[in-house]
Amino acid sequence: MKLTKSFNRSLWVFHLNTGSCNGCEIEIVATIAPRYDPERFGMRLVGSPKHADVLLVTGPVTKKMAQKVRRVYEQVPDPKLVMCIGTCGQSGGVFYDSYNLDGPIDQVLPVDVYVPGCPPRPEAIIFGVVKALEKLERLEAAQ
Amino acid sequence: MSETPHRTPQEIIDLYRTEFGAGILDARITERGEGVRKTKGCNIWIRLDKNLLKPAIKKLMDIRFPHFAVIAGNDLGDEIELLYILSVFYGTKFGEYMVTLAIRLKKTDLTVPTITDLIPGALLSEREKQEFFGITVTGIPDGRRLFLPDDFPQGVYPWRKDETGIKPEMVRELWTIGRPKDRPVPPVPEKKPAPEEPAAQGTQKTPGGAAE
Repeated sequence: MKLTKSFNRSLWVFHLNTGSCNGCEIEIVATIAPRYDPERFGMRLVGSPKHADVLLVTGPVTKKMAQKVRRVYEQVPDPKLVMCIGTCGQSGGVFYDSYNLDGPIDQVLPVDVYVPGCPPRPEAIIFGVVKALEKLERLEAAQ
Repeated sequence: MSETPHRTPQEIIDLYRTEFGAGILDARITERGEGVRKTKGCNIWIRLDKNLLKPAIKKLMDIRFPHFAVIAGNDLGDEIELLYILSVFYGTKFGEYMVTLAIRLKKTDLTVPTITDLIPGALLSEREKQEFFGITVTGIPDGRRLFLPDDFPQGVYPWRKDETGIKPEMVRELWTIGRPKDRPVPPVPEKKPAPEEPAAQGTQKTPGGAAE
């Protein structure tokens, strides 16, 4: 996986809900709104995984969603990053006693950055993006 | 469609009582405040005999064609209660009432007639009640599962609170799973955690001191 110079300058993000309660979605929308304005760094939500560099995954993976999550992941072109937003994708969160889960997300996809919180604040999501950029820089330095 | 006259909640209950008599087991009106000004709004709750469900919905269609919201359900132990939540006088400002028609099914006879011949949109909700409560909706045009996965075991009904409910071994406790161990080594090593700072700040705290 060779990183081009432009990759970590304008991360395009595809957001995928795998059974979340919509709390994390609201915080993601708050993150991309003008108050924090990540679009000045070229980060924006896109409508298709084929245009994306980063996959934001929220929610514990429900049984019906697991196969679709894998398909969306395969549609994202390489190189790509996966960020897990919210507690659900890491430990089940409020859905801890559900019978219908295939998660956590890292059982289904290789996750690069975890952002805990129920839901995480926009600052936490931005901090996660910074961590992802640091990881990219280490990748570039290793090449 | 010819408009039928607008009626008060008490008039609706009186119409039901004259039509069905002893078949109405319970009928009451609750009031709630709508919006900031707390304008009065009404909910009508009618519990009736199981056989009267379809005539009751037909009666509501005579009053004014109802807006079907959802069928709710509840496991009461020996019985399963189905709540058909509808609203009449839809779109009338401060004159729209939620009408909840409740029936109770004994667990020895979990059948209920379909209402899709009257309200076709009730099909999805009836399919959901079939798979989650294990009831049988007689005459349903499409009895497949809706939400549950195809490989979900037969005879397990997630919303039941008795022995046919969710088995404890079906719950995967995600917090015990941890991070996967069988993945290839990442191309760059993980960053080492920062060395812990000496606890110089900790001595300034008074034991049991309240926040400022």
